[in-house]
Amino acid sequence: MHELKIERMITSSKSNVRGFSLIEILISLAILGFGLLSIAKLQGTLITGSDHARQITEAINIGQDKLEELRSFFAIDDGTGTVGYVAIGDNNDTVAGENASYARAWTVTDSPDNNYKTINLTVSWTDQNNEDRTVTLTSQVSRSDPATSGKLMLADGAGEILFP
Amino acid sequence: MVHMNHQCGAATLVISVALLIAVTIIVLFGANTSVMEQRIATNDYRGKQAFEAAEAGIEYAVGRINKETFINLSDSDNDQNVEFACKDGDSPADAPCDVPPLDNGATATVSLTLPASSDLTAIEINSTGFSDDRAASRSVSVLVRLVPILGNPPPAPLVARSNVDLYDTAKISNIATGNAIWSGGSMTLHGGSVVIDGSVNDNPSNLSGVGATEFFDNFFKSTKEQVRAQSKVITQIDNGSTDYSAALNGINGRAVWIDARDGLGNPDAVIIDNATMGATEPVILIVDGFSSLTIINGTQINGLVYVIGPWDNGPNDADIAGLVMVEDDVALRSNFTISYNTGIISALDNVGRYTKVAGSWRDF
Repeated sequence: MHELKIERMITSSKSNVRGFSLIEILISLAILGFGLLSIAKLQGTLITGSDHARQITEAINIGQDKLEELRSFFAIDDGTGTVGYVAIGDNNDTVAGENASYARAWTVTDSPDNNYKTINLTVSWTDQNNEDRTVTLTSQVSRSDPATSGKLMLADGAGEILFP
Repeated sequence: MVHMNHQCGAATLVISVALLIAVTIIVLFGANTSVMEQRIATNDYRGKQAFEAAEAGIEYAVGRINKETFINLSDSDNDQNVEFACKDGDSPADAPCDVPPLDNGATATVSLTLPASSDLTAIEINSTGFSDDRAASRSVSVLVRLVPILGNPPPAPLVARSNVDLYDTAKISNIATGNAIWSGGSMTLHGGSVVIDGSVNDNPSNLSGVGATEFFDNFFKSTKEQVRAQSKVITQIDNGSTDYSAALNGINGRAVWIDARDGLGNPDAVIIDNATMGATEPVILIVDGFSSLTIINGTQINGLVYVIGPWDNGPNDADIAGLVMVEDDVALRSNFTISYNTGIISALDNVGRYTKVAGSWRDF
């Protein structure tokens, strides 16, 4: 009688344990699944993040290239084969980067007394998440004739015709 | 205790949690790199914003001092910091000048210092730029020097490439150095009331037959195009007989170029009536492309008047202290007075533009 009771208890507990084990495995799987899923999501964000970081650097370099290009002029007025200060004006172009295409647009405003120009340059692109990104650089260029820098090296005037 | 014995799924749970922790740690290490990358990129962005702002500060200052010219720069307290007006309407001050904020929020401050005490012909511009959040800053400096427009002032107050005709009581005087007129053609006096204090040199072998460009280049440091580019250019107001004095009155210490041609090359008759120029610092006034130039009584010009083309002033008189140069024939009548003034002529050296000295740019 006593033995029988024990045996019954064992069999009933055995069947119970089997059922619990399945549920526990399911729970662990759910936890693991959720965990891995969110980590995968985080990983995706991180990849986009570093991609974005790289794009910012690239965009800024492309923008600075143009700014420095606008800074270099040969004379105040345009001449044959030369770019003059007066020609610095609004424009835009597109530059193909490593994994994005960058649109550069620059607007130029002259100062009230025309002694310097302000260049506002925006580089914009669309990132992996289809979001529009922009970086902006602003600088100024003064209306100083590069030829006068050369004059510093010369003696005063031609002065070949002397007072008799 | 009973329950622990009655289960066998804990191992699965522990292993999966351990796995999860391991993966998380690996990912977090990866995240660190990515976050670092983004930090570097935004810092680079800020740094470049600040650098461009610093460059903007330099250019702003170069534009500013060339607008204001020599006279509005001073070092009255002798501390080798230049006092200047940072913006229109500001009073001149030593304090670092805040450049008007740039469109992207970046800012710059500029100060001007003198490498050599009390010599305002060489100035060091120091500019510090800040990013929009002021987290990054960059400093740039450059040396600028004053390049005078007039390189070689003539020794006589009236110089003409061609003939000189003087009428009535016109007066040309040089009591300082003794030479009054230098003419490439011949000088003719009409009537006996003309006053000439000093010697006359007409038809000299070296000025006769000299071309207009050569004549200009002999006295000026740059070509006509360059001088024009360095001057305040006043273009044709309209194509009738126009009084330009409103545009000229009160100008000090700079070069002014009147281009009296319209876009089609049609000249304007230029009248300068009752204007005072160069009262505190001499001016260089260049008149180009006119059909007739008339400087009328009441006009006082201290400095240099250079006329491109022939000039017959008619029965009008004016007072010019300094120099008059004419690229062709000149005829002066009435009480027209030209007097040589050593102080004004040496101050003409200050009429020019500050230009960056090649190789002086520093970003430290």
